Amino acid sequence: MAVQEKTKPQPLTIHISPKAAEHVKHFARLEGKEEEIGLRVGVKGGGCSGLTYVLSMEAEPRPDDKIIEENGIRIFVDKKSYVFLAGTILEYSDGLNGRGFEFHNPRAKTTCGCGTSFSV
Amino acid sequence: MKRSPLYELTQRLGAVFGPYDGWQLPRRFQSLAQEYDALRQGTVLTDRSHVGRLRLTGKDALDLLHRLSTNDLLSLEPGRARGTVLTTGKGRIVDVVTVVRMPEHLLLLTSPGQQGRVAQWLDTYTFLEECAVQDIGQEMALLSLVGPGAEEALARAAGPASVLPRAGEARGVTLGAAEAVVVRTDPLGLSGYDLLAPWEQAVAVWQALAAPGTANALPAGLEALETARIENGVGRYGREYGEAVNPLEGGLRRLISFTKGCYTGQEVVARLNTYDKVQRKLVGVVLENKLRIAAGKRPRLLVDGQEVGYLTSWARPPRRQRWLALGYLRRAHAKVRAQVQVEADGVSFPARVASLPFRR
Repeated sequence: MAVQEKTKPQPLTIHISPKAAEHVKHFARLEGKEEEIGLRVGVKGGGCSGLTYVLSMEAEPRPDDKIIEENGIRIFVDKKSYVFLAGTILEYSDGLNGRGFEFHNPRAKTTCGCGTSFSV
Repeated sequence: MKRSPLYELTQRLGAVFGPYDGWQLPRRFQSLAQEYDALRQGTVLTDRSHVGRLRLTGKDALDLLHRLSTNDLLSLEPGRARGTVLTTGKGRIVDVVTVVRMPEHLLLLTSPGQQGRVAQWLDTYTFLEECAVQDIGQEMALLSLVGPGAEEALARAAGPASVLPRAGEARGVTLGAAEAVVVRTDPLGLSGYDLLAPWEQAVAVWQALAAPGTANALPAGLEALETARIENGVGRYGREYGEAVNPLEGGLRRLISFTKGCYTGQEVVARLNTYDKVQRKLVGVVLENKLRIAAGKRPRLLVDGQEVGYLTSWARPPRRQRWLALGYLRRAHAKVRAQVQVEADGVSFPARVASLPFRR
């Protein structure tokens, strides 16, 4: 009798949409950086709800970083931030009323009025 | 129970000790009336080692505090001190602290016994920032020199060449053979200083300030200071301030910057202010009777049989007939001279609302 193999649940990770990835490469080019630049995604304390998202371009990861590759982008996340960001999708909202990079975080319980701060 | 380096000295001076936030500290020396009079008319010296003392190092420490509290800290210059309120995302009080900007680090004076909570709070919100928090409560002692004569007393003890800190300033001052960091905090609504001395020098600093003929400050216990605090209408953590209270209710408007931008809880505090939505106020209450209540309980305030508030601190200052109290009242009832009923342990008696600080 064949043993039914259970589908392993997908590990929660951080995703970057194709559109967001394109914009990162675009910003890298604008700043004269390599397209292979890394994207640091993180959390910072403070901000009206308690935590704020951090987004920056960095050439190299730090020793304790988790590295995620998707859509041609290498994402660097420090371990402490990862706890708050697992499952987050980094999107880019463009068009007339676009807000730029947006974090869609299933863990965020509240967000502040301007959307830059959250709590879990 | 921790003992400060001033324990033996204060014991020899006749101190009666009590437990204060994990420390054995003088509750009173000779007489409450005498200490209270000196506090109101002269100068007193008190061991306040239960006040939390944290050292923050790292280039991002001030920025982190700025993002986590109500006041503008980025504009705090070296050699200056400023009060601020650490708030939750819902705008409630984690602690009311004083930030002292030293040349190489920050000193954080927390509410008595709150240093562990504050250190943990800061650590929770530290990610990649360079900020390390150290409890220096066993490294530095804290004495307070307060009263109308405090400035003169300090000047006499420090000598003619010294420059003393003015309001909101911190300076190293040589006292006798010792060196102390002196901050003009004007604590508890009193005029005066908090002095931080290295553990082994605390006794020397005390002796320089208590020396008859020079500084001549009278030793006072924490009971006298607590009485003055209530009379001055100044709140404390665990009584008036805590995580059930927001800083606007607690009368801490002067520690809130409404122009500094984002900090944890900012939206709630700003909204409460803009839409005038603060529901209750910290007020003074003058009691017609002595207040007797079991420890840990809070007397209720009623109007027409409805509960409209509660008391948080109470004392009868020497030379006063009546007991004075601090408490929270629903806005509509928080008017000076309004009559309320106090209810405590089944006993009920009248009281009236007074403005703060209580007039003397």
